[in-house]
Amino acid sequence: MSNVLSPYELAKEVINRVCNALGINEVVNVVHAHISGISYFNIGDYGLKLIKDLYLGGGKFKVYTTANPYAVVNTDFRGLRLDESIINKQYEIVKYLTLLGAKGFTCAPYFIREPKPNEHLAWAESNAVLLANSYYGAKTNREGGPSALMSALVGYTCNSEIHKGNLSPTVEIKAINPRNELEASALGYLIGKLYPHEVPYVLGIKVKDLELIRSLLAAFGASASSPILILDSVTPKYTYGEVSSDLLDKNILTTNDLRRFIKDVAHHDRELRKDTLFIVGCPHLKSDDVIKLYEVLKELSPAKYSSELWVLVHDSVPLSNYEVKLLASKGVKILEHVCPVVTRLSDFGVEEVITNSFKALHYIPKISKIPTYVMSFKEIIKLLRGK
Amino acid sequence: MPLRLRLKAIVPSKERRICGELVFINKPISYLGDLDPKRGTVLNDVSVKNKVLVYLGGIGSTVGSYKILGLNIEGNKPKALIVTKSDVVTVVGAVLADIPLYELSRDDFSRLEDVISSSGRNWSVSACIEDEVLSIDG
Repeated sequence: MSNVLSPYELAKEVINRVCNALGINEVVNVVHAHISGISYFNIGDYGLKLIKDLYLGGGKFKVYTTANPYAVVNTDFRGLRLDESIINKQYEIVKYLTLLGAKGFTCAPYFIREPKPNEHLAWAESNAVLLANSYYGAKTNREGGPSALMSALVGYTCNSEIHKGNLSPTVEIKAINPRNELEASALGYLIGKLYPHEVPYVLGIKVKDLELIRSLLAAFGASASSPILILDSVTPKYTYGEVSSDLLDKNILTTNDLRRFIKDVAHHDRELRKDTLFIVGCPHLKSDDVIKLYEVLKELSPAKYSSELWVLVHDSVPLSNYEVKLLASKGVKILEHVCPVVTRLSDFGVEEVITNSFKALHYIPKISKIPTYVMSFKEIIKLLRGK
Repeated sequence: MPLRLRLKAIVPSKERRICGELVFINKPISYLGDLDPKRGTVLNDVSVKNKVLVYLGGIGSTVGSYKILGLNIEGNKPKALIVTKSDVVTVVGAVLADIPLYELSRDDFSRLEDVISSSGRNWSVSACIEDEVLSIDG
């Protein structure tokens, strides 16, 4: 299609066909588009060509646009880097997206531009979509990567039930209030596993801590397809439709359910013998928060295992050269704009991954075929302190 | 066990009748991670090329649309995708890849599953879609 149509004609055509397929006959203007699918590992040469052709054809993003993080091309793992040709193609994708008008590269676009209540967005990236709808009270479809790209060009998307605030819950879950990031993450993942294609209404979540809510929603995003997870005490009422008294199903998730699930996927070995990569920041941490984390990280013992800890952040963290070197001596790297989940980590020689994110746990074994386990951030730090 | 099941066309086929070997997967597919466009396989080793692929639906990453598009680019397109619930990510992928997409009710999905599980493990059968009806002749 892209060979004959201008970028704008292509975008209109794609959105039109998608709306038709969804049975929607009107569009809605958006103020912010967020594009997923920018890792060369995921979209390959055809994705690169699509994005490049949009720019060379005269395309320019019409609305404020951000994009997901890209493959880890800006560092090595224990001296090993990605192949030069992959690095070059990845930077080409980033270059053309920037030329089209992308303002930043992160899976946490809400840290670059916080959505306002009732604002219409065209966001891909499931954790961001879920946070926009379920927490900020904004409105976005769970766009596919290419449809968000097309919406960025024309500034509108299909006016679905979620945009109208009419999407109603179909199942109800009484859940235990999660106490830490692993419990929150496990809870989100389990809800999605139970109801991958439903719109859940969740009672019992009292946490207001954004980090826990982000963990919960990101994990749900990996195991389900809904654009919203309604948390009765968090999600603004106007973002969803009527709650029927006759829902498809009702369920209860207890502390034991969470503990059992976490136990199955936790890393129990205290003696790491492999080239282990620790990942914190999936989804990306706010860079301001990482400045506080520095105080903890600088106290770690010098790297005594054949491991590294990658802390993923939404934007660059203002650390001095001395501070960066000090962290490096402890095997710690703070990385902005990139994502190990969308990187083939086996190319780095990584043999094992330990993370506090169920989202990373979901994807890394599938994409990189590397054994992956969960551990809370506190436990990771304890382990890396060598105590 | 001839079976006729009613479908709803989401991305309609340009051909009046499409036929292919039926592949039934009783779970959702996380296109990112589960679908390999280069090899034309899903869940590691199940071939999808020229198949009528029936599964619960897509979950997970919004990059999934690119993975479905990749099936077309790599010449590994299925004949059709049939899900119990279509979502934007799947629809976008099917539209761009030019793969017909249909919805099957959850009850009919279960009926199909019963027929398959009572037919043994090495069950292989061709299925045709015409006028929004899935026909299976066993």
